[in-house]
Amino acid sequence: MSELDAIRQQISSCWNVPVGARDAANLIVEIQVAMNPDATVREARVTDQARMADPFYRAAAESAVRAVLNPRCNPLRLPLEKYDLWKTFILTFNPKDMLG
Amino acid sequence: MTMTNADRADSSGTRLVRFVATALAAFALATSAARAELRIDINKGKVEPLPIAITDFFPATPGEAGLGQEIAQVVAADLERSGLFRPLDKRAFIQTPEQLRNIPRFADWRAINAQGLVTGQIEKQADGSVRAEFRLWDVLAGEQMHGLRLATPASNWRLLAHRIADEIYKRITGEEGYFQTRIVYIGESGPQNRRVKRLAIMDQDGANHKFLTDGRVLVLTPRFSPTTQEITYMAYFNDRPRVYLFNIDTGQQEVLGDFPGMTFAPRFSPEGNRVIMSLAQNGNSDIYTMDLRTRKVTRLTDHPSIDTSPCFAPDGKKIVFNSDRGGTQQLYVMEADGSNVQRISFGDGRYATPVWSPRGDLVAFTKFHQNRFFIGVMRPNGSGERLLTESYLDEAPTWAPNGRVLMFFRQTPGDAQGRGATSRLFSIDLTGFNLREVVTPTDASDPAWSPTTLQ
Repeated sequence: MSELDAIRQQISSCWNVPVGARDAANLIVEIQVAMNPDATVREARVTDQARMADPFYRAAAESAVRAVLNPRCNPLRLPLEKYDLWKTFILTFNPKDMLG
Repeated sequence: MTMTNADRADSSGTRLVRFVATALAAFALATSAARAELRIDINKGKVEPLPIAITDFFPATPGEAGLGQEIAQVVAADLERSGLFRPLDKRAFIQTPEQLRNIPRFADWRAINAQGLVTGQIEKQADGSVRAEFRLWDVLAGEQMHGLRLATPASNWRLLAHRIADEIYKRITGEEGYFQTRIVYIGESGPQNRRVKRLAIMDQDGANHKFLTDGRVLVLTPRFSPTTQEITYMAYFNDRPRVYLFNIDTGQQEVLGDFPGMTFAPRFSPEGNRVIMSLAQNGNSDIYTMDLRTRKVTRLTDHPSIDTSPCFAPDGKKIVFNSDRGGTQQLYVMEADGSNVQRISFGDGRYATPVWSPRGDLVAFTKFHQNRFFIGVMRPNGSGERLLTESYLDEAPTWAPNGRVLMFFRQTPGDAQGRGATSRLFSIDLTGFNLREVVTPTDASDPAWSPTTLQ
């Protein structure tokens, strides 16, 4: 398994998906993540702040932020010697494949 | 594809949902010096309740401590029952309600794996009212998410607790809460051949239960107005179906009319000033509306088949109903004036009692196939059919006002003489999870969920 798959799996295990929300398929959330050198999350920010006025989007976005900040996901399983490569990254949370 | 509860039974509540891998080129972390920002797609996750710590509301005087605990209990029970929250055991809490009058020490709540935290204070006033204030905290982000001050007569404290639960539910899910609601249903007792059926009402959590009729006449199919605390229901008066309009708050009741051959009480239009029903004339059933003020009846369908069980869309523009015009009983949608009839159900089996979701995105129905009953949902254009429950007999879905939860009744068979048969109310989340019995003092059928009651 690649390093990327490992992170994906780890974050997936921390994400509680709002599957029953109205129009859940459109609730795609981008999170800008800033990391500490020990592979814990320093900051997680929703990139699309304009949509936070919509209570459904805000609920979905906050579920994504909680996944990133979840103690189960900190530290992330990242190679510490390559900090330069992952000190910031963007996560896209998309529930569409989980909806029947 | 349809999926029933039975299929899902082997996957537990905290299952990892099927992962559909996205085509993402293998990313070598070690390579390229000049690179675009790393992007990762997360396409799977868990469906599990949010761990939340609901602390006792801190009392202004020691004499109010009991009330502070009871309010926290009602809030926790509401949220737990929704299936979307998992209230944590109070015995694990490190901080006390008194300490929580200040900003919480979030590390203490992260330590017990809480993601949400509810704190509050109460104070009885000289005029007999109770003042409550609560805050909802995001434990992982270390921030306040919501806070509100409320006041209510002390006798209304349960409603106040339900209001707080609604506020928390809405802030976290984005969806309106449904805890300030009531259920009207038919309470059943006595042997099957001499069944006593009484109209009953209770809060959505089972509190404040009472019977509204005495059982001398047979009552059926109560339906709530979507805008007022008013119901229609059917009663057999001199063996003829008579429809009543009943205001739950005032107790005022009037006869809407006698309707020979009627099998279900009328449903209200979204604005509450008309009802829609099927009426049988010369042995043929068609769909009609009736204006509640003028009592003017308007015919919407005129077809030799049996058209029945009509229900308006929440915007009032369309109607879903069932008809055997295609050979078997199926669901159809038409415009509010009866034009443009389109069949929407095409699966195997028979479909009945369609109910349009208050949020408009789904139609719930009862399905009968190979001697089994199902409660299911589909989009109003007929796509996306999903079966949520399956049993010997599941019937009569009714939506919570937020369109997120369904209630229905389930019968179990008795022995050859019908002994041991039961009829009970159940609720289920529209994702197909969180099937629960709604506890009633007697057997029960035909539930109807109220709109949110205003405080």
